[in-house]
Amino acid sequence: MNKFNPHIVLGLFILLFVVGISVHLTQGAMGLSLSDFGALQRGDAKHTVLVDFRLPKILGTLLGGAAISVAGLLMQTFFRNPLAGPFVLGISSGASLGVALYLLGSASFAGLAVMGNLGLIGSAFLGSMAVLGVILFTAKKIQQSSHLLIVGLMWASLTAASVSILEYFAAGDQIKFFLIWNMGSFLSLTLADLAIFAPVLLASLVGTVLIAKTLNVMLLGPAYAKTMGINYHRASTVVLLLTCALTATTTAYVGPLAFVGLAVPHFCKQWLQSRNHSRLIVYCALCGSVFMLWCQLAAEHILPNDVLPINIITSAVGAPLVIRILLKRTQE
Amino acid sequence: MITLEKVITGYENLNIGPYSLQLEPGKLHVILGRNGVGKSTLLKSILGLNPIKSGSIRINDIALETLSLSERATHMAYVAARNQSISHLSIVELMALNRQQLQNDQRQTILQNLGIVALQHKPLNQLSDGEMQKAFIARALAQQSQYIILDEPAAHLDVNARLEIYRVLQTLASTQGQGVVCTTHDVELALRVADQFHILTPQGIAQSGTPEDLVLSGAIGHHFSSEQVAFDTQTGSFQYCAEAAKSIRIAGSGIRFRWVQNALIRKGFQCVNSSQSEARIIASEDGLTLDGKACSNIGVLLNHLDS
Repeated sequence: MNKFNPHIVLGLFILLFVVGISVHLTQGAMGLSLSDFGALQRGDAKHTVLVDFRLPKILGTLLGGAAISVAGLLMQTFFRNPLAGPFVLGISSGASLGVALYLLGSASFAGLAVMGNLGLIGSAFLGSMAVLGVILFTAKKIQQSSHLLIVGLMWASLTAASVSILEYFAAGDQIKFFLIWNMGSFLSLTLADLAIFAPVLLASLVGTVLIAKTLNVMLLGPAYAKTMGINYHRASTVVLLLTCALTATTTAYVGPLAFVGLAVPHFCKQWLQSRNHSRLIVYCALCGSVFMLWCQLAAEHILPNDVLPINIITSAVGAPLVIRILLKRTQE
Repeated sequence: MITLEKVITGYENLNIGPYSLQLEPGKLHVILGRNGVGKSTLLKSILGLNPIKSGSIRINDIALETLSLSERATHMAYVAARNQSISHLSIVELMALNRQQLQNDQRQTILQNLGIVALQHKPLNQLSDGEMQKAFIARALAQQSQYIILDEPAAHLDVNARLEIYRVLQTLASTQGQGVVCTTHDVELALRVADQFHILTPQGIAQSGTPEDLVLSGAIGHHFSSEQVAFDTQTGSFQYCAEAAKSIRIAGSGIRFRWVQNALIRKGFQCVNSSQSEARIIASEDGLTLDGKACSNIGVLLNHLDS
């Protein structure tokens, strides 16, 4: 089953990581060479490009990819379902819904707009919490994994409906902002955004590592966890809050990222042939950030003079993978 | 000792009980009951997974609700009736999920006792149902608790695997001194291995005792027979009570005689033991005859009887 040597794969990923970052730093509308980096000066155009545009973009890609992948891992463990993930289950859509309503609200009430980014994150967080709540409720009632996906689909269409509402009522530039945001982009991230984005995600990722052992036990489900001495209720609250923090923060800044949260953890389990979360979390974070780094590169460079929305790339890679997992499960 | 006193449990609008029973260590306790009688619910209450409505559960004279979750884990380990097969998780890794980590030789002893040493690095999703059950029993044993509590440990296994699982549980109780508590509706199998029977009805424990005593007192027959099926105290098994319209005189001895009887009862005959000269059927090691004519096997005999 394990056709590749895990150490070679790890080496490959580290290489892809380094190369990916270098390409991001040097390539683009303005080419930069490594020798330029030494001679950078404040106010210089090259300095601006590097520090104000490329650096936030790279850090955002790395953190966002890691966050969404780890969130996917958390959900797959919690729901004990390989098909779970923030996008597939509609958690990302929930965040979209929150943002859409927020944008609609801020158009009508000028007061809301003052809240700016914080309002954006807050609404995304509330939106994803609401969806997660509904899914938790549904998961208790229905055990079958495919039904969870249907709930995810429902949320996706609800989001589509709310976008229509937004389009109908909101001003032109707000529609455009939402539509672009909804396609996912790392390009609009600024250093100021990162000041919130990075600490929240890093703290959540560290939090996930801290509960790795509990996550291992959660694989067996509530009855086993409780009889093995785990406070399952508290543990699941922590897991869900971390999932929401990771998903909502990423989604609020860069839009919903399709399929990454499903594909990356699945790949890492195959890769490590293990369910040990102490390792899986780290590998998911690495693999997710590299994956996102290269998806972003693809988005920027496939078309000569245009940047594709990142969701097109992640969907193109992720969707076939979901179909593969479904087929494989049916065979079993 | 786990002691239940007048425990009433159940779900929102369904009460079952009151149950009073004592489960001492070093024995294989089997909680018997028909399907849907509330065996699993009671088991979950003992484990603290399902809150009780009244009464008390004490473990070594300490009330269950005053014990922390990790203290409970040192007293009781659980094995569910059905376990999700998890990919990329081996038996050894499954055993390592417990808080208490085992020495390698301790782990190997458990694996040996269960006969799954060779499978220890195989992922769970590649195991058979019987192997899966053993893997989860291994996990429970690795928890090193005083009791191991199993819900229908062999319900969906084939007959060999079922016997094997019960044999393992019996050995655990008698040699390791662990208390083993399991539920089942399989009376015939339980009769072969259990130290203690607890017959469950929705109105509470009907009777506890040594299995053989419960057979002799007629308790098993009373609680598990129905209109079509009766418990036969001679054989310790359940028999169809087809209305014996026809009776037939038979004679003989040995293993062939026993199975000829089985076939005749199955076909609705009442067998009357009689002397060789009066019998229509004579079955022994030497041969099988019907009305003096030899039959090569039981199938031929039955065909002749039909015609």
